[in-house]
Amino acid sequence: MTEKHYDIIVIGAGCGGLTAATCAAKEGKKVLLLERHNAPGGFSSSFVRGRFEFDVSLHELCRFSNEAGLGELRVIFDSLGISDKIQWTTIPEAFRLISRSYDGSKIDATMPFGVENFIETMEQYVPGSKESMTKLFKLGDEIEEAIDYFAANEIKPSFKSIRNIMKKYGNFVKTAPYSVNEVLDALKVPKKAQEIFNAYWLYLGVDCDRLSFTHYIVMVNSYIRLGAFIPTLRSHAMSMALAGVIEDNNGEIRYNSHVSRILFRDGHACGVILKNGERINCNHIICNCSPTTVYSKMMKKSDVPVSALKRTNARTFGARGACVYLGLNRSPEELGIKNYSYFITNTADSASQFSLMKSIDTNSAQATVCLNIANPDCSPAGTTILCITTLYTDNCWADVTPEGYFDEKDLLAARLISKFEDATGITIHKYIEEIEVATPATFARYTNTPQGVIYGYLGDDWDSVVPRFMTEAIDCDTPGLRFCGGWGTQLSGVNSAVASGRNAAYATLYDIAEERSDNNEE
Amino acid sequence: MKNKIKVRSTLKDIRNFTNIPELRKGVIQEAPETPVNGNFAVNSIANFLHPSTQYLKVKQVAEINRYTRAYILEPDTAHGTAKLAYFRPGQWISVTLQIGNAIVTRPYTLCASPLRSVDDEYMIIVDKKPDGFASHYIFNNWRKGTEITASAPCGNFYYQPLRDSKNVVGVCDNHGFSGFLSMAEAIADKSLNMDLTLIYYARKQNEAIMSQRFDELSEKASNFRIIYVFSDEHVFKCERGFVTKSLIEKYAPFTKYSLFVSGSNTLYNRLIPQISELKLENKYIRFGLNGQIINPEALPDFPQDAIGKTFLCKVIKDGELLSTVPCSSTESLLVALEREGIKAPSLCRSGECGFCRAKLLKGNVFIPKGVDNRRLADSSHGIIHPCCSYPMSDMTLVIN
Repeated sequence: MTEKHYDIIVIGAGCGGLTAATCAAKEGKKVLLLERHNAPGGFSSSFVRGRFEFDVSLHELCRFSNEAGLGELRVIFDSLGISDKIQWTTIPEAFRLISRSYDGSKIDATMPFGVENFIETMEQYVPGSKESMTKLFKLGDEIEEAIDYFAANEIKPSFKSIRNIMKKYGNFVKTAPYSVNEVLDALKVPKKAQEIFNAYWLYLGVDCDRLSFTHYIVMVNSYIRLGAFIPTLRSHAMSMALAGVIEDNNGEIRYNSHVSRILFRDGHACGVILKNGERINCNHIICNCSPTTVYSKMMKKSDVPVSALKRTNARTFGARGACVYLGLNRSPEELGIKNYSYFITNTADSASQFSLMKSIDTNSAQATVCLNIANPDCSPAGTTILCITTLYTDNCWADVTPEGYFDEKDLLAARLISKFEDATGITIHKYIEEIEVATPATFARYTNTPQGVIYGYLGDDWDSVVPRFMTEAIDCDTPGLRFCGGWGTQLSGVNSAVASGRNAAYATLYDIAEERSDNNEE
Repeated sequence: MKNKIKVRSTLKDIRNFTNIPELRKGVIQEAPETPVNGNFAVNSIANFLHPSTQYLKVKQVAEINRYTRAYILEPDTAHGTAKLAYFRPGQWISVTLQIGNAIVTRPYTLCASPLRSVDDEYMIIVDKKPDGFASHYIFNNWRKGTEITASAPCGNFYYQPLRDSKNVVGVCDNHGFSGFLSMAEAIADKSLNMDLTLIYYARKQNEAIMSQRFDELSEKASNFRIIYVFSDEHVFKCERGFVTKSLIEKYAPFTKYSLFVSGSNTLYNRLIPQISELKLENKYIRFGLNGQIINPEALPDFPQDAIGKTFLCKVIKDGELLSTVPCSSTESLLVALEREGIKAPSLCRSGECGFCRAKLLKGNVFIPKGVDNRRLADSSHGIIHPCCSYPMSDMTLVIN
């Protein structure tokens, strides 16, 4: 059999890989997408148990709109021609936070979408917050505009360059070096308003003492301004739509295909070897898997640049995930569930909460979604889909033994269910018709992610989105190989993964064009 | 008008901004250039519990009767399986068999306690059916030392303490006792905390294959009880007849209970109307794996005009045409592929697990209602599960 050759091989069909392959195929490149699972999507997938179909991970998309051209993700999906191929469901409200304030009082705040509504509601919960919150959202708009500019343009830290940026994006420059809490303090946002405003931090898994203000405000501003959306038929619909565009553009997708090695010739990626021994050649590779896996398992030691070793060793992992998927045999009305998205934590102080999430026993923090509130027809009449997600901020699942694993899973589910019941006063444990529990080991199994990490590398202060963007060039130290997805420059989440997939594809197309002109010059 | 924001002071803020790249480069510069660690305990647990393949060897064959044998399996270390994957009682493994030109899989429920897998032993029980294919092959070929390729343990037919009542009433016949045997073993060795009352149906006493072991276990464990029901003879202390609503109620506890049913299609067909009269909530009723549908043409919604027809299926894998396979409307697509020696993925063969997921590029199939467990978006994108799809026209299929 002759060895096959492709312009670009994409490893991993998560959102990043799917988007990268879609963009490259649409540009006429010969693309092969390799995925070890039997379906596309990575975390953007779903599974069926009994009469229920559960989304694996998606809570809500941001930077999206039901109106064409609004929001980064919507713009990308528009350009790929999939926005109209997917049926969308609108999320009715921002979130309900149930937690404890710094002064010991209980927080139970339900926040709406829409900037004005959000600010008004906040004023009711925290009188005197209005002025600073108004400033904050105005700042959010400016920063969203700035980040779109910087995503497309290189930032050089030269004096001249900075002076030009300052003119247009001064507030971005002045807030970008700081954490969420540093900026909220500077804006004099009242402490209790900060606690409510910071509720979304669970989506990024970095506490607000370290979480990049830029990163956070872009997400929150977009949620509150544009609202949030999900594909009506689960995120698998999004993955299938992307896969469809790849195939429509003569791209190939192979499932059940596990890449065991990435090959290099003269320091440039040149192909892959599959687990079954097949060799496939290419000019460029885009990886949707973790650099940790690539550098430790998929490359020959001598092919890994020293700078890549240092960079990878410098980083720490972001949060590991766990989910409890519940199919309940009562309707949300019968159960008394009124909200779509619940953030339930022990303390509204994210740094303290982050510590509690380091061990299995002390962690019951959760982001819980009741799908039926947004999408009443998602399960049969008289039933409810409720998904509870938690994060572990340390590698605590490493201590579980295989023989104790199933019991630990059940304990985890019981812990999260009872926390939900305590916080909301809603009984759910009596109505469980289907239950599936995913632990970090489950995510490791399906996506091969190290330690079951679902958020890529930790967006620590030095390694958050702005530092990664500003030094992106030094991260591309393996010619012919680029990364996308949750381990990429934009950090994790569907939005980031899709955007990074697009960026990796265009950067690779640029590499191809440059190499071609180099060759012509020779 | 724009707000002018400052966090520290305008000058400091700008300096901190320009310093961002150096800060990141500095942290990276400080890091060691040792090889990247890619081995993690969590991933090891995942691989241990869900290996993509388990290489096994037959350790021992025990003849239970002329038509039934127990096979004790052990890890085949020479082929790379050092330890057997742990499992939940009620789960099954799928074994791959090369029979002549055909490559087929069959799911077999693990019937020993999970604790025995820690000591490197699985047990499966194989029934030689008169019209069987794989079972005949196994009877004729498997002996001590035979090498076997199998999947990780799979399946959702197990006791889930958060969902199920702690009191479980099980109903089985000779085709579905294996999962209950594993549960009873695990109850007896205290690795499983549940109360099981098993109603075991057979025509005659000597046909209740594993009665001796079940009796021993019920002696040993107070929270496991066994009740036999024989249709063709009276036996002391046993029930006579079939499993009915009133029989289940007779042995069910007064409190809430879960009903687990596992057995032949005949048992299911007879039992389902009885179960509906029990007025149990859905959540308290669990069924074992259906298994392959034997006579799809007997299903009420099967297109009658397709009976007896044969079609051609072009099979594509990795972008290339593998072969063109003749397929009968009354046989699943998976079986047609296997017969031609195509190595198509499959595990449960019941439409449940989705492992055989394939894309129908052209053509039509019939999918019986009860076994269509496809994702919504899969259904709308031409994805089918060949193990429970029946050809209704010539077609083109992409397999993985």
